[in-house]
Amino acid sequence: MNKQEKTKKIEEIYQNAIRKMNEHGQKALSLINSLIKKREGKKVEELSKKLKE
Amino acid sequence: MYKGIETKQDAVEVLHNVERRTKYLDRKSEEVTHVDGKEKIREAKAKLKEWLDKIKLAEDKLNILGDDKNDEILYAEIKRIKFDLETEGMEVEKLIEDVIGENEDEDEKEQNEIKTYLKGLAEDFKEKAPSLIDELKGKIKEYNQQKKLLEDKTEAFRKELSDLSERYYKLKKNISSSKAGEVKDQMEMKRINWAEEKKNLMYLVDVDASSIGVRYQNLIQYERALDEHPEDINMKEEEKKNIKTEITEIRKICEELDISLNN
Repeated sequence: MNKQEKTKKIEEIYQNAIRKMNEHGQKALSLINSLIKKREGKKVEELSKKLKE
Repeated sequence: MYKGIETKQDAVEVLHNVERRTKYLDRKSEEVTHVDGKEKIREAKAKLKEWLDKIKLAEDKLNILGDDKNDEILYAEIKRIKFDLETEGMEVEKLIEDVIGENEDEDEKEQNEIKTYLKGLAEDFKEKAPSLIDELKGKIKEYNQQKKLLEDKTEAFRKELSDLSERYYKLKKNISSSKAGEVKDQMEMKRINWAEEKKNLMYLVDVDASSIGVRYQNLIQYERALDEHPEDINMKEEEKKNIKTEITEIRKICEELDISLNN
């Protein structure tokens, strides 16, 4: 493999890794955030219930 | 052990070697650096850390809000995705290092091959290099003679054709058209003959140029052996110095002649 081919190969590996990391990262964050929203909604619900009582 | 040029096959082998090594040297001269690869690994690791930090912040927020048994499946899914993310971050380093390492091995192997080859040339230097220089000088002389012959004959042809042409127009204008026809035929014949002769002469010039090209490239390899492995050359320092001067002069002549392997 010459320098040009090597650089191209490294760039491919790098871009592919970044793409996959972004996919995984966004997916994980999105799941956690949906849990946070759900949990917050539940808390609000509990608080308003307590207030009514 | 290196073998001198004795047959056409030897010349082909030398050409092959020279081409291969020239490509290698070109590649080396591009200053193959691993900095790019290492930089990419650092960037990928930074990206991994960035995601892990973001996820950690979100998880901390989630933990503050409390736990819920009903979300166990989602927790497991998040754990799996984090594992994939970390694996990706670690693999990129290994993959890039494999590419770098592969080249390091190849370069080292090729460098050793070159070293062995040049040392072989250095050992044969005393016996082969001076005769190669003599051969080259002889070939350059032949080439110059052949080229001069081609130039002289081209000039002679132009002159003859110009004379005939002049005669033709005079005859056509003043005397007989049949005489003019004869001259015209002569001109045509001259052109045909000259085309054939020129082709042969040019072929001979090309042969000489190729012959110089092969020997010249071979001499360059000997010069490199002299520069890089002088300790393996069984000659006095003064002799080495003289031969270096001769090689430099021949190099200059060949560069002026613009003879390369393409010739």
